[in-house]
Amino acid sequence: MPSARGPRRHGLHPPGWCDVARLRALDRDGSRPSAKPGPALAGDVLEFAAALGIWSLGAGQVATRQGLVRATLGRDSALLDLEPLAGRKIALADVERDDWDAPGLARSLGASAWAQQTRTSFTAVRVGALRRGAERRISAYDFASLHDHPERATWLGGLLREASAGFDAWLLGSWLGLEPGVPERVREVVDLPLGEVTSPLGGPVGARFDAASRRLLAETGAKQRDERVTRVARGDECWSLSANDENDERRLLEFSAVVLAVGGVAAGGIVLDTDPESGRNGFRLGVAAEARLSLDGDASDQTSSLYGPDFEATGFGPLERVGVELTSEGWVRSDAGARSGVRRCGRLRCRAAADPARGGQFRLCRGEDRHTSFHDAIRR
Amino acid sequence: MSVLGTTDDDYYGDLDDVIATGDEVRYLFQAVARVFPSIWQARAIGTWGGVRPTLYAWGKNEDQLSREHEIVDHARHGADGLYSMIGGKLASYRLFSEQMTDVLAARLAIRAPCRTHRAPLPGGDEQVDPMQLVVRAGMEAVTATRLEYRHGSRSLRVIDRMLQHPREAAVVCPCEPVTEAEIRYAVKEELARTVDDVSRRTRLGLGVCGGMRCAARCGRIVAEMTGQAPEAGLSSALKFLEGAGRRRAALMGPEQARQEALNIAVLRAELGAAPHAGRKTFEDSE
Repeated sequence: MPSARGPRRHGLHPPGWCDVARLRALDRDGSRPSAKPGPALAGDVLEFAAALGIWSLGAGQVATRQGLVRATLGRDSALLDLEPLAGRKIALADVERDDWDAPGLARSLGASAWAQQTRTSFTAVRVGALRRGAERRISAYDFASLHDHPERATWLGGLLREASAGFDAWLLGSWLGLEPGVPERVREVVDLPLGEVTSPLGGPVGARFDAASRRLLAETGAKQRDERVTRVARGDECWSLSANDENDERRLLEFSAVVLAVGGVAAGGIVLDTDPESGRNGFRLGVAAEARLSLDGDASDQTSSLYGPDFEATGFGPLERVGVELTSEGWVRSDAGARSGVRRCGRLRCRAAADPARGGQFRLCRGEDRHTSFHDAIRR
Repeated sequence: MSVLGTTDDDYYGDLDDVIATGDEVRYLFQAVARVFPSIWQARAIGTWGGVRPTLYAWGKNEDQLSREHEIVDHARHGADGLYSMIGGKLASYRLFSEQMTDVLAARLAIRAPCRTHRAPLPGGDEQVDPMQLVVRAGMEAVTATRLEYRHGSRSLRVIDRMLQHPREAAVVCPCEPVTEAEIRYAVKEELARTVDDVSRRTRLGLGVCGGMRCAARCGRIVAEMTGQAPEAGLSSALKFLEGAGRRRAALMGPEQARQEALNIAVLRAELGAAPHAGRKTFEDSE
């Protein structure tokens, strides 16, 4: 393992150290006005999004809460698509919340490459949308939930309508409710295009996705349980899951098929283990299963003493590049490196502009069966 | 939050790129773990390090080197009027400065008595009750306490600013907490010019979120006050976040790894960067 002291001590930044270093291009690359439509989305992605009911797909531009305009392939429907508003005057609701700096955002968005090239203006406009002092500091999630009440949403719409003179659209914080229908209710009152900037972590957009995905699963007739799965194993006739319930008791569950959506390090599906004595790192699946991990095409050997990335030398890129290792035919490799009985049969990729890029790999572990649609896969 | 330290090691590298190493972090953890073994489960949120110039001595390890300080008059080297202050530590910096001042006073025939031991440090001229800040400005008690801790009596200047510009009472860094008024005060009165400068002065971005919630906004404020374009503020924020990330790389554990993976995803989404060359994406693995 290369010593972290060598190159770093001489002031060299090792290649690939933390993607942050490469983000200095900011909006120069990410927010060019769309000269051509983005890549076509796969049919299963479109079907999933339609079923979910909270996303708008297609190339567009959104404002991030950090003050940039960036291109997207899709977004939460509550976010404002700036693409059709090119060249127009957009008002930012200046509400006295601690986590919202409308004047600063207006300056930053107005200075973006997209705004400059399209001559789109952003202006902070005072809106007294707080009813109580405490609303200044409650979380974005809680503030958004206030607008689930129809009266509050209508009231917000009225305030915005009163201040709309001279503007073509409104840009808000992540305030437009957690329940479906809130953005539409407010838009109906304002009678102008209206939407949010991107959402913070733990914010309303994630909550909307969580609620929508649970609704979708419920519509398929799936029974939903929240348990901590610790092991997935294949038997002669079925797959068995070991899980800890809320009483921390071990239960054995049996299924004819299992869909394993790992979610990566960010979701906890892949865990970084660090040996305290040596400092060596290694990755493992968060659930014991017949699958091997790989990083940049190399097997991440879980059985030997931990040997993994040296983050001091490489940065944090490996955290998002580690994944389940597949053969060229799409079979998951077992711990021993052989082809396991687990096959990648379907794959759905969902990128939401407001949320971190999401990759959900859904694999159906049932021999040679292939499933042609997301709904079909879930119903089996 | 607990601070573990200190340790030291020989350093021969770039003085502009000093970071605590994994070896040093593990050394501290191993020492603490003898009494508090649960330290291995704690989530480490940052490190910091600096360089201390010790007096040179041949053949000694770092523990044996003297921590004393020394003033060198280079007149004996043919450079009359040139002095070097070497060695010492932070605990003795005021004494060291007084001694150097005495040397210069003698050279310049200044006979005024030394008053450094009597003059209060900036902000130390009077005691301020943090509850006074709460009452005057309507701040929360924790915010007021931290403000007074950082600025002493000069916290009243920050409050005055807040009273003139009520919107500046907004808390920009919730972890520490740091208000917009304090950031603007640091820029205007204390010559902060970057997010790093503000962070050193106020601890903005040094809490559990590592600046993810506040660095960009701080950068915008600094850019606005210093007449720079917003992009310069965002660049300053990115530089801060990059440095903070590098300082955390030495102490990665399971919980922090998950947080870092989230942080990278958030930065991509919020700052709109496309995946860089060589990254394995879902497109690559088709």
